[in-house]
Formats: sequence, structure tokens, C-alpha cells
Amino acid sequence: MSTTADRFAEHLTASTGAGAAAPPELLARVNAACAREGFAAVLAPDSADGAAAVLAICSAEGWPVLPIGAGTWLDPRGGPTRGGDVTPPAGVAPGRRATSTGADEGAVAGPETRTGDDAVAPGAAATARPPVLLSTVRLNRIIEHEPADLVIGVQGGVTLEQLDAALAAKQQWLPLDPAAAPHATIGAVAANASAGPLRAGHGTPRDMVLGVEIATGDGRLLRFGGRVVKNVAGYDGVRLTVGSRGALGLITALYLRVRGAARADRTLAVACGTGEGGARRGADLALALRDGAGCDAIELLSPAAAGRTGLVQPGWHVLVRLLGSVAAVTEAFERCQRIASGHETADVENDRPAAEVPSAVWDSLARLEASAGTAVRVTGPATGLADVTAALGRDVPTEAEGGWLMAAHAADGVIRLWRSSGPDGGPNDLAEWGTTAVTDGWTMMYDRPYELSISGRRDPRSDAEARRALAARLRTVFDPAAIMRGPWEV
Amino acid sequence: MAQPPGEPLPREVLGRLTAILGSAGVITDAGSLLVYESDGLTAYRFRPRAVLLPRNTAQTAQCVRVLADAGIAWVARGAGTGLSGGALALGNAVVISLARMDSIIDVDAGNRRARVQPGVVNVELSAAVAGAGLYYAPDPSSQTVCTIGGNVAENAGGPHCLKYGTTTNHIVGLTVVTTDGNVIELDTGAADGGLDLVGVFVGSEGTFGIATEITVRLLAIPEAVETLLALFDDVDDASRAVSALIAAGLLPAALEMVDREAIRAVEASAYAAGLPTDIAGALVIEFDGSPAAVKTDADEAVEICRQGGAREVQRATDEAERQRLWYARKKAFGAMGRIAPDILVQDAVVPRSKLPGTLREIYEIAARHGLVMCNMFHAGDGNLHPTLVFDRRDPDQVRRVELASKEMMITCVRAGGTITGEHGVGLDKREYMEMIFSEEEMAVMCDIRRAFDPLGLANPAKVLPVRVCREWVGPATRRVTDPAA
Repeated sequence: MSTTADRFAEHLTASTGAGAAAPPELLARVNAACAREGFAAVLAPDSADGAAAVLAICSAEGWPVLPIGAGTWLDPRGGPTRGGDVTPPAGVAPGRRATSTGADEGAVAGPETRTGDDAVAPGAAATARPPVLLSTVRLNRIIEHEPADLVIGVQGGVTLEQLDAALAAKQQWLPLDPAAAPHATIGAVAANASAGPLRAGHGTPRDMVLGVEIATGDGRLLRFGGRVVKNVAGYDGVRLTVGSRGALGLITALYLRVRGAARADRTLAVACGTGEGGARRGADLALALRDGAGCDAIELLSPAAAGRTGLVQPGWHVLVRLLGSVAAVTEAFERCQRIASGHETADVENDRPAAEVPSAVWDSLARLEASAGTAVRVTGPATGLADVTAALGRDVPTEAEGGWLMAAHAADGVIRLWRSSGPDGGPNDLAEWGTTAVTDGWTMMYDRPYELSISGRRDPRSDAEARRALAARLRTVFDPAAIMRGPWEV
Repeated sequence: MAQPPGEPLPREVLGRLTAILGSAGVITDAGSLLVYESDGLTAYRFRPRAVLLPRNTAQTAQCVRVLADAGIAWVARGAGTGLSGGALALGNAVVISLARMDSIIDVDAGNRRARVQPGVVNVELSAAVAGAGLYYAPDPSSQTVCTIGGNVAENAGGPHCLKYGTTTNHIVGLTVVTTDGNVIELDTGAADGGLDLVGVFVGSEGTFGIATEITVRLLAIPEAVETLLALFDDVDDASRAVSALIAAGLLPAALEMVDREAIRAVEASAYAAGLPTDIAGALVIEFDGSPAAVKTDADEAVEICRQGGAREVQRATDEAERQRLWYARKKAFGAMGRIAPDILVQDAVVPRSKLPGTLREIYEIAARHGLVMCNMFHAGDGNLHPTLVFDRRDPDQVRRVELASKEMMITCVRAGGTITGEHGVGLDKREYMEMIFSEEEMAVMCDIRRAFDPLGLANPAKVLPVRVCREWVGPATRRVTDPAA
């Protein structure tokens, strides 16, 4: 007997035609990740107009939509299967957002414990309908690429490896290295504003996207920004869209600012020792490198993370990546070596073994992090990195098999902890870590799974309600029927 | 175009505002209000009903609340240097001047952040943090007078945004007085995801609220700088050299172009730099970074320019010479006064690859309308500033300038560009918005604006064409009526 969802799926497919059918490999990925009852349909329109048509129908008929890109971030333990229901998996304590006081200000609760005056969780606001999964895999065309402009226009479903190949053919590249699978889409990367270690020298997607085309939650096709590198015409819909995590609609196309390919690419790995001392030395060295040399990436890796990326020396490591002309990279490399050996910091007793390693280590790190089933992000001012890293290194089981891996974008004060398995079992209570690790100005929240990333984003500040109301009004502009689903703050 | 003064503020409103700011913080006399009736778009004058001078966030919020309660429009004003009429008091608005909010609240050198009030002058911020080896990168040409608050409102650029981005790339947090007089904190957050409320606020031209505290990102002062001046006998060669430099993978900190008319004006002025006046154009190219990187890039740029037809490439050997090489670009606007009493500066952007063809077209447009035009612009960004010189006392010149300006804008948009790269839409380019946005897109922008300003009191009649948001229509709404346009 067909369910309501099945009937809607048939109606949607009939209305949008074969142009929206999901390719077999996407279906396979979805079926491997999600229980069948967790979604109404999987659609992959082959045009922006097709995507808009799907959204228009869903908006009109009140069916939730979850943008899934190429489906590479589907939670294998059942991410989108609950149609927006944010009940954490069994055994996982609700996340808490630790604040500068270290106290439990505004405990973040799962939906089962929210009080009546709490903001409405997506699941509670929506009906019990499972979402339509909307993919961009068939929006995979390079729209235009004029190398002399250092701008490329692509559809939202173009994959990272496809984009890299197209740019490399013209001796160009996009300095963006998120922890994502090579077949993840650039649209999803932009929607999540995902950035990797290269953010230190090159910024995040918000600094790279010049123009977007978005199919809104109510089925309109809008364009903001453009093909030029400077543009202040009208309100910045580009900045509003990038990082919106699907709250406003589906990114169907983007124009990106790219760079000329670097002629030299070198990586220095510095072993900083074990234990809390190693963590502090690594953090201090990372900031010294930030201040003393123009590094494109500076990462602090926990011993476990360093080992898993192939670094042979035990203990904490600082990885530095240098890109540019041969002469510039040579000069910067030598300067980094001097800083690492303590010569320029006058810390002559602190000899830190430094060695050049293949730049493939960055791919290893990205793949390792991309496979995470659970990810936590701890952010704050970079000057506090040493204290927070040391505390986390002390309290979080990073060394044991199956324990957490940790790395930090040292220059930006972004620490990531992740494990391949789910949050079930083992220490997983953010509050437990937060009260010991979080110091002034630092915050902690889940990035994955998405359910916990929603519940973990409670904002304890006094003006939180005003900010939330503003965000809600902005979302309503694009999605008046509130059908879009995804891991954004409610 | 001047608008006669509107009705004065109601006494009750005036009383409440005076109680908040003191009598010295409220300007109502006609003579003093004259100072605020114009900004950098000097062709227009709108005398405000009053000018308020708060000193902090709390006073600003209280003032906005009083005005909101009374349904009175207002416009925030920094230094009044904007070139698109963004600070003009349309709609009989009250001006809220942020000039007294000029404190640098905190500098966190370790985290490369500074928190400032909006009235801090751009160049003074860099001066204040220089001792820590840091600076604030966005450098609009008016940086010696323009304010950080104004920069935020317009998402200001400048010569060095080719490498370092515009204001939006350097703002990480805002304290905002909302249009109903409340206060909220916006920050980009290191989590990166989520609606970028800071990003959408920057460049909103004072229509979303008032930023009363601004947290900026600071950069380390580059270790080395090399500045080149490449002289060309052909404008096409100069503009092609721009593309060649970028296509070679070089990323100059600045890449500017000036043409013959601009050079001649500068050489005839007190700013003369000894440049030949028979060249067609010149490129100012600057690299910064580590000494080795800078030298390598500069060497390569010299070669590219020579291969591209440069008559000569001058290379600064010290700071004094570096300043001299910049004169042709930085002093050009000021030197225009030698040619005519008025200028109209356009601000269109085109893809770099379209520069040669676009430049040819706009020169033809100027010639066809019998106008003198200079070009000095941010070539690396494709951000053109065709500058038409004229005398506004001659109505025919004014008519031809407006027609030519619109044709130039159409040319740039047809080349894949946009209507404003850094000056903002304001009043000046409001009616050009429909060249690049659909009705639906403009309606969405109107809705975005309403999300921030449901009362419609913040800087009315700016950014969006009046008919889109059904806003105030008044005598300042002018259209070019040439049938060919």
C-alpha cells in the first residue's frame, strides 16, 4: 500500500518529468545512508529551472526539502532520515554550548527537553512528512571560464575534483581545501561555507564567491553578485547565501574568484613533543609562524591525527604550507625553519625537529576529516589556542584507538575534533569537555551529525532572540512556506 | 538639484532628542544645517530637518527610537565623502552624524583585531595600530577623511583591494542599532556556517541600521613593497598589459591605470611628478610581501610590460620615489579642478578581459557627446572611473554628461560588468539597478530591506528604484529622457 510520501513522490516526479530523476549512483548512496521511510523522494534536476520547479511544487504543497548536493555528507547513521526530527541518537547526551564563564549558560537541549518558550526546532515546526532530498549532481556544467579574468562560473553540482581539473588545465586553482570528498559539490561547499587549512592565507568561501544563482524555497530563480571581482550593487545576497546551509534554497550556480597556480608548493612538519607540553609548544609555534612568515596554511595536529596522516615522529605537530613563486617559497621555508628551530624566537633550548614532507599530507588530512561521523568545533581567539588545546588534549581521549582526532586552524583559532564513528559510546558530552577546556571567548558545538549541530547552536547571549528573529525574517523572504531543511540555527 | 528645507521637527520630538544628547548634540539652525545638505555627490542638496550628534551606542539607539516612535526618517552620516549620495537627507530626514563617535575602543594585536566606533577615520586606524606591526587594509582614495562606519555602509574598496579584498573581507563583528532603536550584536563567527548577517549588513548603505561599534580584521604590515610605473603610448597596450599580468599568475597589491588627460592635469598642477605628457596611459603596479617574492614578481611584471609595448618602466628605489610614482593616480582627482569646476565620476566594473574594448567604447561615447573625459581607475579589478569634467552652470553640458554617463554604464553592463564597484548605489545609481537585476530580484532586495527596516525610515529612497518599494517620490527623482537611451 503506497504511503502519502510515495504518492507525493509520484506526483512530483510526474510534474517535473524525467529531467529530475536521480541517477543510480546517487540513489545507491542515499539508500546506503538512509532508511527508506526517512525521505519522500530523491530528485536531481538537470537544470536550474527544474530545481526551481521542484521547490515551487514542494512549497505549494507543504513538503519539506533537504538539499543534499551529491549526497557525500549524508550521515551514515541516519542523518536526514528523520525529516528534520532532531532527536539525538540513543546514548548521546544533549549538547551544551559552553561560554566564556565556563558555566552552563543556557543548556542546549534536544527537542525532548526544550521548554515551551524555546525556539522551534525544524522537526517540530514541520509536519511529520519526510523530506524530498534535492540533489545537484546533474547540475554539473562549467558555465564559463575566462582565465584572464581569474573567474570561473560553474553550476552548483560541479564537484571539487571536476573544478580542480578544469582550473589546472589553465594553470589556475581555487585555494579552498575543505574536509570533503573529491566528489562533493562546490555548491554544497559554498552552502556550508566549508574551508580547510588554506583559510589562513586565502580565506573561506565567503571570500571567493562573486556571484550566485539560487533556486529559492518557493521556487524562484534569483541571481546575486556577478562575474566581476568588485561589486557593491544592491544588497549582498551572495554573502547571505554562502553559508546559509540550504536555509534559503538550492545553490544552482556560482561564480568564483580563482588564483594563478602556484609554481612552488612546500610543506614543513615540525614535531613539538607529546603531552600537554607538546600541545602548548605547538600552539605557540603556530602563532610564531603566523607572525613571522607568510604561511598559506598553519595546522596544529594532535599526536593521533599526525600519525594517521603519515607523520612518523610521535607527538603534536605543526604543519605549514607555503605556496607561490620558487624564490618566495624558498625564502619563506627557510624562515619557517629558523622559527621552528628557535633561532628567531630566542628559545634556543627548545629545538623542534622540522622536516619537509610531501604536500600530499594535506590531502591525507582532508580525507581523514571528511570521513568523520562525528565532528566538534571549538572556536575562539587564536591567542587562547595553547590553553584550550592543552586542556582538550588532557581531557579528550585522543590517543586511544578509536578516540578522537584533533587539528586546529591555528591562525584562526578553529579547533576541530572528530571521530569516524558516531557519538554513541565514549565521552561525548560537550558540557564535560566545555567546562574544563573552554576559556574566555571560546565556544564549542557539534558540526556533525547534523541533528546535534542544530541542537548545539543555542546562543546564550541576551540579544539572541532579536538575532534569531532577524534571521527568521530573512529566511521567510526566500522560503515563505518554511520547507527548507538543514543544519542551521533556529 | 536642491530641495528646500522641510518642516521642522515637532517640539515634543526635539525635546526628547535634546534630553538625550544635550543642546550641543542637536543642530536645527538653518545656517549649520547647510553643512549637511550635500555629500560627495555635490550636484544634489537636501537640507535635513535636524542633525543629531550622538557619542555612543546607547545615545544612538535612544535617538533612533525617538524617531521611530514619531515616524521620522533618518540617515546616518560619516564624513560625507560618499560619491553616490548615500548621506543625502531625502524624505525630509534627520541626519544622525557619527562624527563624535571617533574612538578606537580596543586593539587586540595578538588576534589581529580592533574594535572602533564608526567615526574613526580610515587612515588613522592604520596609524594607531602601526606600532604593533599591523594595519587596516581597505584604502579608499578618501582614506585620509572617510570613516570606518562609512566604509562599512558602502563596502568601500580602494587600490589595494585587488589583493586584500574590500571592506566586507575585513569586518568580523558589528554592534548594530536596529531601525526600531534596539541593539544587536552581529559577528561572522568562526563556525562559518549560518546566515552571514555581518556580510549582508556591510554595503547596505545605511538602510539596515547603524553600526555603532565595528570589529575589524587587521593584517601584518608587509615586509617589502615594490612600486612600478609603466608608461604606454597606446591605451590598448596598457589595458592588455593588465590582463597579461593577471594571466601570468601575478597578484599585485595594486594595479592602477591613468590616461593622458589625467596625467596632463596632474603635470600642470602642484602635484607634477615629471611624467611625460605625450603618453597615452600609465600603469601603477605595486607588489608587497616578503622581499624575495616582491622582487621576483616585480621583475616579471617589468618584463611583461616591456613585451606588452611599454615605452618605459620606472621602478621606485625608495619611499619618496614610490610616492612620486603614485602621484599620477592619487592626485588626479584633485587636479581635475584645473580643467573644469565640476566632475562626474562613474564607477562601473567590467571583467578584466573586456577592458580594452570597453575603454575604446567609452572614449568614443565621450567624444560623441563633445565631453572631456579622464580615466584613472583600478585596472586590476576592472573597476573603471570614467571622469567627465563639465560646468554645471551650463545646462547643455549637464544634459550631455548625463546622457554620456548612462551610455557608459550600459556599455559596461553589456560587457558583463556591474553598475558600481565601490561607490555604492545611493541616489546616483538607483535607476540603473534595473540594468542588472530583474524585477523579482529587486523585489527580494526590498523584502530583505524590510526584514531589517519594517518601518521604512532608514535612509529612504536609496539603493532601490523608488517604484520597487513603493517609497517616497519627490523632486529629486530624475530620469534621463533621451529617446535613444
